[in-house]
Amino acid sequence: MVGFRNRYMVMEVFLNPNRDPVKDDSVIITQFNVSKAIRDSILVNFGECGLASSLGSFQVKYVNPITNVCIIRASREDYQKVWSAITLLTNIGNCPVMFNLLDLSGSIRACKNAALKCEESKFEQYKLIIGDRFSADHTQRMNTYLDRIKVLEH
Amino acid sequence: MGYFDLNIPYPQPTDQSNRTRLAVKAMELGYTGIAYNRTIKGVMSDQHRCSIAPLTLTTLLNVLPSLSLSANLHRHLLGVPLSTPFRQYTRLTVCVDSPAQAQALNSANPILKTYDLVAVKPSNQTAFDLACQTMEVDIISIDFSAKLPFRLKHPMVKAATQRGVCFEVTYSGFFADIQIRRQLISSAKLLMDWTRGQNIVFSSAAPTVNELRGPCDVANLLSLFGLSKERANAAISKNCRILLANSLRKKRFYKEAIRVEVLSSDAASNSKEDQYQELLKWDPISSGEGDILLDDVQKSCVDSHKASKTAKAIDFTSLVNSLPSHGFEIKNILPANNALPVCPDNEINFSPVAEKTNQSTPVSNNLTEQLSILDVFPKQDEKSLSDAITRSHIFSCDKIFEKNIRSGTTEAVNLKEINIPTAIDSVSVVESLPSHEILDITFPAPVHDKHNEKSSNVNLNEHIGNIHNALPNEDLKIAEQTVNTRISDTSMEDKQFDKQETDAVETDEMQQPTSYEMKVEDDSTDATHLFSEVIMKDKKLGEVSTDSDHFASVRSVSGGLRMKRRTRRGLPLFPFKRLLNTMPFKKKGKKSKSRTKLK
Repeated sequence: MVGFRNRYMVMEVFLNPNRDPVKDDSVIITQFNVSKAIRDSILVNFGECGLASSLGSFQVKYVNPITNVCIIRASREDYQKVWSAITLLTNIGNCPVMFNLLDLSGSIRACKNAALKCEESKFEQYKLIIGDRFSADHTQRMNTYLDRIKVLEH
Repeated sequence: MGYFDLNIPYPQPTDQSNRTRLAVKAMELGYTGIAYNRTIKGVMSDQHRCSIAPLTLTTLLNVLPSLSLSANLHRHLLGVPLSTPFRQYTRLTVCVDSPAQAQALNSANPILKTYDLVAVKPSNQTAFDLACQTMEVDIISIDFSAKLPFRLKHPMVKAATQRGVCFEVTYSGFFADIQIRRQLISSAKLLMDWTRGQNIVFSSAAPTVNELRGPCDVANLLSLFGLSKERANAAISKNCRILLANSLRKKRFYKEAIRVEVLSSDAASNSKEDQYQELLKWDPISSGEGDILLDDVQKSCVDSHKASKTAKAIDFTSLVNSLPSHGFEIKNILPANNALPVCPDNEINFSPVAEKTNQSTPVSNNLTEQLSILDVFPKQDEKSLSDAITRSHIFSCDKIFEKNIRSGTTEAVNLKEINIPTAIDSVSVVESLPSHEILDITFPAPVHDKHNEKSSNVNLNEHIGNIHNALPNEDLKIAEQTVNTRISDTSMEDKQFDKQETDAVETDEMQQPTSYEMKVEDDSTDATHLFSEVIMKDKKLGEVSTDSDHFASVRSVSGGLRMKRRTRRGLPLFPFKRLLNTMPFKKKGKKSKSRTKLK
């Protein structure tokens, strides 16, 4: 029936894990940053052909710089390679990072549900870390990001 | 199944901050256990005794205040029960060059005994051969990131696997350098091919937090070595757990004895209760003081217990009068609903059932205490425990026992006819608290009517008398059953007859009639509580319900564990029951059927 079978990975990014979590002199993750870094990682680890075959379905669908959650799509055949490449990523730009998979699903719908749950929890943690500096602006931005998840398409 | 990372380096110039950060990260990512690894070279001396102190929760929380939230999220995603304690083990890695050094690595070495795990790092061929064949170690750790100074030989690897020694591969080399990455994969692939993931432990030897990765990611990295997903997952969870259980057992206990205690000279029942409590809390891979239970996790666990409702839950709270809660266990057990699904393998959780039972009867403090103690029972596998329970039951109801023996078949019939799980009966019995006089009088009456009636509702009013009669019988039977098996409606009769059975209970059916029955009983009976009877019933109820709880939880645990439980519960509680029961062994088959029906 459907030609393309994909895997959607909900991942969280730990920026600068070796430093104090409150300091924010680290890079802000964007779709472009993350995508470039992962593609470089695939190139280094799996070579030109590895990159070429996984590039077809590979896309970073969504990134939330507040909670550091991102959704990455890969084809069903190559998702393990892409996942390994992501795990082996050590830095984006000059900032050391650490990726951790939260959820893996085969449909965008399940992925959206999982992502929303993870976002909630991570937002709670963010509020705890930020403490006093938390403002309504953060909530508003967060809501825009959540809306973006809800309109995600394959 | 928890995830373990068995190689967190413990640096010599005690750099505590790094270790703390690593531990925090590991806990946050959802690992259930880590081992601090200390490496020594050369000759072992007394200064090498274990001096690694486990970290406390406060130190961890200082680094990351949102630790519990984060850990909860990850554990929830990984499927690890939220109340699993975070364990910290200690490990020693000895670098061995020559046979002389190898001789130090035997089980008689006192320094080795101070560590939980012992690993050897051979640096030449002879050392490797000795490690595989003779050395008394738990782990053989090979540094694959450099060119191997020796060759891995298949028969050696096989010999080591047969002895139960695990090979360790570390993944910190992946993040160091691409040359090292290449070397790591090509060297370790041979080992992976030969062992196919069995007896392989995959761990980080992470020098900093940057090199640590979450359990799912680590399992996926193993696919780079050519392992399947199941084997990869096992390498970071099941293999580690087996390794820990074996090594801890060898270190702490002697042969088959798990615990040797000095019996206090208190009254027999009190000390027994304490013993049971302790035994039930025994954790095969506990790391002693290193265990960290996230307080918030606990609290959220209790809350979730209160909130969640499942089909299997018994809504005791609505039925029973509130009991004066006594102690931590009883309070926690309160809503029976909660206990069952959420934390299957946690000691904390088994008490909820007991609490339910407590609530079901107006009981004094003593009773609740006993109940809580007895609730622990289902977790117990030891025969000695069941014996002890038997003894305690006998101790508390000698009179009833005699009556039971006299009644003999009739009581069996009574129970059968009621067709309610003995737990329910016990509950109702507790409530009704029949006096002994009633017992004698009503004994023959109910025998006839109740045959094969399945609905407890119908039976309830009619059979209050029966319940009274059945009270003593039930005590015995319930005691047996709670210790041994699950109760199912169909197999209740069997249970009476065949004590050997250790099968599943149809907990939902049991629970619904229980609640109903309890209601009825409350209305109908006068609360002239015979203290001892109440105690017994409560105990039994607790046992039964915790049993069902327990089994529900056991079911969720690996099948192997469940099988172990089955075999251990063969001993009947009351030896005299055999005289009363005339059923042949074949009834056991029925029970397994009902068990599969349950879940």
